[in-house]
Amino acid sequence: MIRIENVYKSFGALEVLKGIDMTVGKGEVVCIVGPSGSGKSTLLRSLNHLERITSGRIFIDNVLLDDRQDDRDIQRPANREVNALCSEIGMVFQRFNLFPHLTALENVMLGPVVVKKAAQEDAKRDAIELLAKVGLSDKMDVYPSKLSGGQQQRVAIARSLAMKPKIMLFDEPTSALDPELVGEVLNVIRDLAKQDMTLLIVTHEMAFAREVADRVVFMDEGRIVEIDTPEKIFGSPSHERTKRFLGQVLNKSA
Amino acid sequence: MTDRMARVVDILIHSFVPLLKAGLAFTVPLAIISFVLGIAIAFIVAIVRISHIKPLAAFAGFYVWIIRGTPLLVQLFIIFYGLPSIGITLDAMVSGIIGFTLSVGAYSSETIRAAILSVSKGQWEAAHALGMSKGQALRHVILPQAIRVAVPPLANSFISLVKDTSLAAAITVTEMFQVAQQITARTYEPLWLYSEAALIYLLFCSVLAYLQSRMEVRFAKHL
Ligand SMILES: Nc1ncnc2c1ncn2[C@@H]1O[C@H](COP(=O)(O)OP(=O)(O)O)[C@@H](O)[C@H]1O
Ligand SMILES: [Mg+2]
Repeated sequence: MIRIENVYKSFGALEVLKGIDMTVGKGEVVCIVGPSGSGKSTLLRSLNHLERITSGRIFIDNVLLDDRQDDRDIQRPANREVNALCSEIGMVFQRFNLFPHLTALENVMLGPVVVKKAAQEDAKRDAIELLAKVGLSDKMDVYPSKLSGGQQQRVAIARSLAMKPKIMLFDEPTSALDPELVGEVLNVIRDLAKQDMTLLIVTHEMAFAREVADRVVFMDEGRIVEIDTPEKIFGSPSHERTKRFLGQVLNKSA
Repeated sequence: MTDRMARVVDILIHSFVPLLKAGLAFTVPLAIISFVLGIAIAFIVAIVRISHIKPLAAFAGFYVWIIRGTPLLVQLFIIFYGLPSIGITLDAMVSGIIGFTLSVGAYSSETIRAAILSVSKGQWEAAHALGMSKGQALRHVILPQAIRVAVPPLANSFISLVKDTSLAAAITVTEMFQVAQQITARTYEPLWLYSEAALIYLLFCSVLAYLQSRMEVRFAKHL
């Protein structure tokens, strides 16, 4: 589903990703953990062209998204193809990024109407269904500014799902939430994990990662240190750095 | 003394209708047409400068530089009195519209550019993540939010423009101020005539300021 080959990314002189290799299978749930600044967001954002990698290759569904093997850029896909690929990859942001001028319902409808040219009625029917699924049937006509963080994030998830993506990327979806609102968002993601969707989740919720992930990636300083089953990573990590990081995080939340 | 008063009152009453007519027939259309065309230009200039399309952005920057760096009155003189010497003779009203349009286009492009840039990067990113192109994101996500930011300063620009149209008197457009000058030449009552014209400008601008405040209330919703 996703194949990442030898990906490097620099911001100016700062090298943020230092040779990332990984593949994610269809329907797989992969959680990415690691200290702040280790490049987790940058990796996620490279998968839908919010960042352009410096070198390496990324394939989505066997289609080349990015090829920076050399400077010739021969195989670089056209913008339109990139947009098409990106519409198959949903992304949920830490800060929700809902459209403030639109109601919850309109937020969810906009993607299908604009990008897929869906008919208003169809888009509306789907949006109503999705908002019901995330438990917000009573908030359809409410503007984002009147919603709690947890509700906003659930609308944001519904908005992504409206595009019927094959892959969903979550970048610390609960980090901006008050503790009592974290659960409602994790519940929605948990439901998605049970379905056939491919999920990449950057999170600091270790208990959650342990529960939903098929595999857990531990990143540090722009590299993947370890990638394994949650039992292995959380039970008996093979690297000293993983152990130290988990020790710190688990102590903090205890 | 009372004779003088009676004469002035008579002149003011008789000049009110011609002044108002000139206002409605020239001042208002001049302002509205120039503003609409100017905003269209301003919008294009703002987009070009944001998108960094190299040669176009350079040209847009040059245009803004020229218009903002030279007096509007001088620009109007060049268009109306200057261009005929290279074979381009324009009607006074057309010259006025061109001059004011170019002026609105340059000044408002900065307002519109700032309004677009004020929308957070996360909004572009969310639109991109849904698969929208830049154009789609601009139209459906960014502009509806930027408009709310741009409306108050643009409304101010429009009010300024209504007053600036009096400069067109200098290129023979028979707008309100020009008519006031004509009547003054006949009656020798500059204080009263120009004050009357000022009062009508004040009336126009007060109506506009009221509409502006109504609009701001409307646009302030949901933010
Ligand atoms: N647009 C950017 N410009 C410059 N530096 C950036 C940018 N985005 C991220 N960085 C830097 O890249 C590093 C990795 O950031 P990030 O991927 O956000 O890490 P994480 O999500 O793991 O906390 C950090 O040092 C951050 O400051
Ligand atoms: Mg991050």
